Amino acid sequence: MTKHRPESRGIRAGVRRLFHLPVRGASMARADADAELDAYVDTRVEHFIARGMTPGQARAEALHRLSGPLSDVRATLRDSAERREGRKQWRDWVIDVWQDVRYAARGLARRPRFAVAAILCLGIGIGANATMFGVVDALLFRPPSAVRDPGSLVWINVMGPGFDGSIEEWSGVSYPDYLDFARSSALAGATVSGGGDSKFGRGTDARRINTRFINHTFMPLLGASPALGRFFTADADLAGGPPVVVLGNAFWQSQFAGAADIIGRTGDWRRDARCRAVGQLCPGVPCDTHRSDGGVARTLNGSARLTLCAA
Amino acid sequence: MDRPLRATAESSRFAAVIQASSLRHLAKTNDMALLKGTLDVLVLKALSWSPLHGSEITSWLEERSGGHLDVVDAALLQALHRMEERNLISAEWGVTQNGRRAKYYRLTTTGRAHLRAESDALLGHMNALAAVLTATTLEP
Repeated sequence: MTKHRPESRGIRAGVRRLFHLPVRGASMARADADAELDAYVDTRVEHFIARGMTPGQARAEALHRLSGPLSDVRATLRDSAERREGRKQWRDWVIDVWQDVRYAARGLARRPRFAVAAILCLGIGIGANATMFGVVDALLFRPPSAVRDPGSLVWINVMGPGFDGSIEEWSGVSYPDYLDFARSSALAGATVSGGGDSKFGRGTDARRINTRFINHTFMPLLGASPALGRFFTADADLAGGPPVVVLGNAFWQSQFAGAADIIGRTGDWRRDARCRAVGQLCPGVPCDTHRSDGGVARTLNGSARLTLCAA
Repeated sequence: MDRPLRATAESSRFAAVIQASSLRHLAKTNDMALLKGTLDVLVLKALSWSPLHGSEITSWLEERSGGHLDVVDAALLQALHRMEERNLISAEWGVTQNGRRAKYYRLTTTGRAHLRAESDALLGHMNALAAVLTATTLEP
C-alpha cells in the first residue's frame, strides 16, 4: 500500500459547493465511470503481470474477473454512477439549503430587533405587492367578465392639431365624430361613453356618485345584459330624452339592499331632476366602478368629454 | 455470548453469505462468494487503513483472506459507487506509484461509524453461528 498522489486538476466537492460550481452532470458521471473502469482493469493487469503472468494472460484474467462482458459491466457502472451523482446533487442541495436556513436563523436570533424589522418589512412589502398585483390583475390583465368578446373590442383615440399646431392625441371625441365612426363599414359597431359624477340624494344625504355616461349602443356592443330591467333605448341619447339610469350592481346592493322592485323607482339624482331606474347591471360590467359604493350608468345628457370604443 | 443478538437485516444477510458460500463449496471451489452487505463492510475495513483504489481493495481482501474471498470486480465497483452515494466513502482521482491514473477511495466519518456498527453486528452473528454449529451436546 503506497500513499497515492492526488490529481491537481480534480476539484473537491466541498470547493465546488463553496463556489457554486456544478458538481457533475449525467454525462460527466458516465465518462467518470468509464474512466474508472478502464483504470481499474489496467491496474488489475499490472497486478497480474507482477504475479508472473504475461500481458495477454493478465488482461484476459482481469477481464475474466469482471464476471461479465466488459460492455455489460460498463453499462452497469454507468447506471450506478448516474444514480450516485443524482443523489449526491440532491443531497448537496439539501445541505446547502439547510446551511442557509441555519445561518439565517442564527443571524436573526443574534439580532432580534433587526429580525423583527426585516420580517415586518418583508411582510409589508409582500403584502403590498400582492395587493397591487391583485388590483392591476383585475383592472388591466383580466378582461371584464361581462364583456362578450374582449379581444375584438378596441379603444379609439382621435389625433388632431394641438394648440401649437403639432399633431397630438385629443383627450376625447365629439359626438358627430362618433357618429361618423359608427357609420364606418370597417367597424362592427361603435359606441361612446364619458366618465363623471352625479349627485344622489337630497339635503344632508346628498352624495356624489361615480357615473358613466353612455349612449344606447354601449351595453349591446359590450354584449352585456341587464340582471334586471333593460338598458337605454335610442331616444335616451337625445336631448330632452327620458331621465333614466341603470344602476351598477354594487350601487344597487349598497344603496337599495338589492331590492328586487328597483325597476321604475325614482331617486333624487340632482337638484332639478329625478331619474328613474330602468335596469340593473350584472356584476363585472365596466360601468361598475372601483368605488366601494359602486356607480351608475346614465344617458349622455350633461357629458362633455366622450371616449370612443368600437368592435 | 456477552450480549443479546439483534434480529437485523445484517443477520439474514450473513445467513445468506453462509448459504452462498456453502453452495460454492459444493460446486467444488474453496472460494467464498460475497453478498452485497458483507462486501460493503469488508471494503470499509480495507479503507480504514488508508485511501485505496479499486484494484488495491480487491488485492487486500484476497490477500487478507488467504485467497478464500472471491471478490467479483464489477460488484466491487458498484459497491464503491453505492457507498459513495451514501457518503460512507469519498472518491478522488489520483496517480498510482506506477504513474497510472486511478480513483482512490477514502473512508468518511460516517463510513467509519458505519463500519464500527456493522463489524460489531457481523462478529456477533458469527460468534452465535459458531456456537450453534460447533455444539457438541443437546443441552445448552
